[in-house]
Amino acid sequence: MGRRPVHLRRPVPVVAGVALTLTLAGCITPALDDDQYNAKAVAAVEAASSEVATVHLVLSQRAHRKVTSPYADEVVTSSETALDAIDGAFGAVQPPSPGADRTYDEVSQVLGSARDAVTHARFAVRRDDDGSYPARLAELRSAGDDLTTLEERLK
Amino acid sequence: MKRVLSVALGVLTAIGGFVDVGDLVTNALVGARFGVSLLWVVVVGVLGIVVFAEMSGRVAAMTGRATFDLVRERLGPRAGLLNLAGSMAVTGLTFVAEIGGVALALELVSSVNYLLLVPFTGLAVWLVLWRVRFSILENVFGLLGLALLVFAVAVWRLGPDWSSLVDQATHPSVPGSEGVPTYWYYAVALFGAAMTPYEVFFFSSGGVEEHWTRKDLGTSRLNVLVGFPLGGVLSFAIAISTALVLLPAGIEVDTLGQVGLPVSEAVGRVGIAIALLGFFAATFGAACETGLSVGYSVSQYFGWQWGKYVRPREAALFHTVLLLSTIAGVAVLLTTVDPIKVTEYSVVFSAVALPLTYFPILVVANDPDYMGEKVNGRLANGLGQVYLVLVTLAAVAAIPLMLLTKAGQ
Repeated sequence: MGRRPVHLRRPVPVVAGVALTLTLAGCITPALDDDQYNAKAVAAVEAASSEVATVHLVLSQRAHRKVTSPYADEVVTSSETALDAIDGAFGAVQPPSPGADRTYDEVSQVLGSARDAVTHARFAVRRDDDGSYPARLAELRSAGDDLTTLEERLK
Repeated sequence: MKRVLSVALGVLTAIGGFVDVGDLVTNALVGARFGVSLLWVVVVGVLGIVVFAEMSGRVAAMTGRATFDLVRERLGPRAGLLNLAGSMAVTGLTFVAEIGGVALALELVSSVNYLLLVPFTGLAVWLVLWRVRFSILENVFGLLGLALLVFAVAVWRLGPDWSSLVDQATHPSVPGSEGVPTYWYYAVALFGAAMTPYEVFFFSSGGVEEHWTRKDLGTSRLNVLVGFPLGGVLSFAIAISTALVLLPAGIEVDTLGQVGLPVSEAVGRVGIAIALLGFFAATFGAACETGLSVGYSVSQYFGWQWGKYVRPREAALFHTVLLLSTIAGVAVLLTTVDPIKVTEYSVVFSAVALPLTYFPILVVANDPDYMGEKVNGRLANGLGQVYLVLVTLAAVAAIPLMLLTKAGQ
């Protein structure tokens, strides 16, 4: 139609920005001081709390036959995998001072207990072991309480 | 009667086809973290997609040509190519997210690892794109997508305090546990999810495929004006259900399985089975739509024969693009990248690319040489300009907010 082209914002910088942002947003950054390390500890504990709460909810739903076994299994397994990733990411950060080692020990211990509680829940769901659900739910509640207590103390 | 049924079918498929994996994940995630304080963004986003989908449908009906066909002609080949590259980067990312979403939905049903399902999902999507008729594709997945109405049933059965919900939704505030930048990051993500560019590419190209003319403008408008807002109700229901069940339990959404938990809580096993059907239909339908959008846009730009109504042999390059983009989508997912993370990024980058899609549509819809007497009226123009400002603000803010909040952490 012989019209003059209208100039748009160029998408080339957008595409480059996409690559750069994905790289930056996905990085595990180091903790340069105790405050930064503490913030990472709080984030790890918060994320783990969410996973434990997820497993608690789906296990109680399974106990009441509100979800199918494959669905419950998938949700529990995903949370277990996520807990591994949270633990791994936090463990990969170097504590910036000897004082931060105590935070590492506390967080690692609580994350380990949470991981165990979720793994036991997976065992129960895959075996469809109704009888063990109350004990597994109690273990998850306890792990969740420990995470909440530690999170409040670290904040 | 036949006409009424046809219109009803169009509206129903518009409702059922409104939600995709981006809407599912983003609305659930936002509901679980921010309650209903960001629902206003869904309203703004749905109104925006209504404004531009109506415009693009009108352009298709009046010119018989789809978006990228006109973008190249109106903006020139160079600007058009840059526009195509930006839009396709985002639509391609969305395509990856949708294929991943289908595999995740199937994993929830079968307990088979989604990575094993990805190649079969890609093959199924490609076969549907190659062999299944456009109308069947659009109607079947649109209608099955209505299964997501189970989220509305779940909200009703959960028996929320409606006055409190309305109060929180109409007096939005940043929850104490969240930072202001994080609130705005998710506002941009929700906006991007509601206004995903591929929806407009697909809608306008579909209009051309179905040979819309001036006589079809009424039906097109009805689909958009009734179907899309009612589809937005599904987004509302997903966000409210997670706000009611997951937020009090301290659960943040990072898997598709968590999205369904409010439904199983309120409706039980039958409910979750229906929700899973909805997940599958929404993601599979959207995977087909995004795949087609890639093929449509590239073919329209280069002037190749395109479309589902044309025999594959006569639109070989179009079908080659569909095949290659499906292979590329599967390959990306097989790197073990998390499909939910891809989804989260895709909706934010959708926000970045919004002006690339919507600015040319506004330009063409205002051009009497193309539109004749059906050029934008005062209301469409006013809303279009307001939304152009909004999408530009969202596009500019998206990346800085992503970096500032470490992608919403």
